Amino acid sequence: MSYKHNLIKERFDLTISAEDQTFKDSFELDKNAKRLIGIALTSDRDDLMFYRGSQKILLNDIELFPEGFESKLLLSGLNVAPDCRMITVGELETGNGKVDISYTDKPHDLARFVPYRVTIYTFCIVEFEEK
Amino acid sequence: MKKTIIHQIEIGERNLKSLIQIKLPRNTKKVTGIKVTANAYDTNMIILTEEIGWLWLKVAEKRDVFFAEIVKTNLTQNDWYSYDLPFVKDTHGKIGLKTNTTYPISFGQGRAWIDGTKDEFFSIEVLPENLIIEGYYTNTLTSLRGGYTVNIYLAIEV
Repeated sequence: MSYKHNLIKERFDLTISAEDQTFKDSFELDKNAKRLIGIALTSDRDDLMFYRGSQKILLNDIELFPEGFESKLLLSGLNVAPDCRMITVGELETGNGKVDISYTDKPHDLARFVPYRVTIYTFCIVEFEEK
Repeated sequence: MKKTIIHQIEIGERNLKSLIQIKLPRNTKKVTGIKVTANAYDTNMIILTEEIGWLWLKVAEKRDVFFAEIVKTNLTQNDWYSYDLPFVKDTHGKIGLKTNTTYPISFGQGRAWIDGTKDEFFSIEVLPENLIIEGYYTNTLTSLRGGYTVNIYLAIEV
């Protein structure tokens, strides 16, 4: 976690260890993270994630991305400027800060399966109380 | 509140015309965006960049088609390929991005010639009166290997 410019950036990992399966995990955002403004998805095997992946992401039961939303639509490559890689979600109250991800791996002939990692980055605003 | 719904069409035969019907949630006010993706590739395992099918969508009980698209396969991220050899000819003699995987990128050579932008939904405003969107998808691929999936993403306001 880093804490700079009123932003909290956190990283959560999901290991995809078997093909054609759904992997679910739940993460908790930092207690100082008040509003979620964006997320980013990366992997150690971008090609597998591009061809095979889809996911559902929830924040406190608010559906950010529905079941079957392809991972390739959320990936950013090196050709995208670093400042533009985050997917904005507006300014959502984090509430109790529970992020659920359900990632589905689906076989594809152009990307043979090997175990890979899916990483989700969250970007949250810290709001300081005004005195 | 904004929401996205996804409709998948499985294509398994050549020259297939699939009729589709998408049921929107009951609290839908309007459709604000559309995106169509597909993951087709041909018998030589080449990712196709030409058209693979046609899609037509209309609001049920209205004659007007509000969305029509020639569907193409999404390219993989261009920066997976070697910067020093960006163009090659495929087996059809077409010039395109290098299709042999040289993953990961060769950082040391060539130059970054691609400028990427965010993938966005096609902006549209449709007021579905009876919450049903219907239409059809025609597969125009003749060298189909296996099957492929067409995903229709609808961004809706509820």
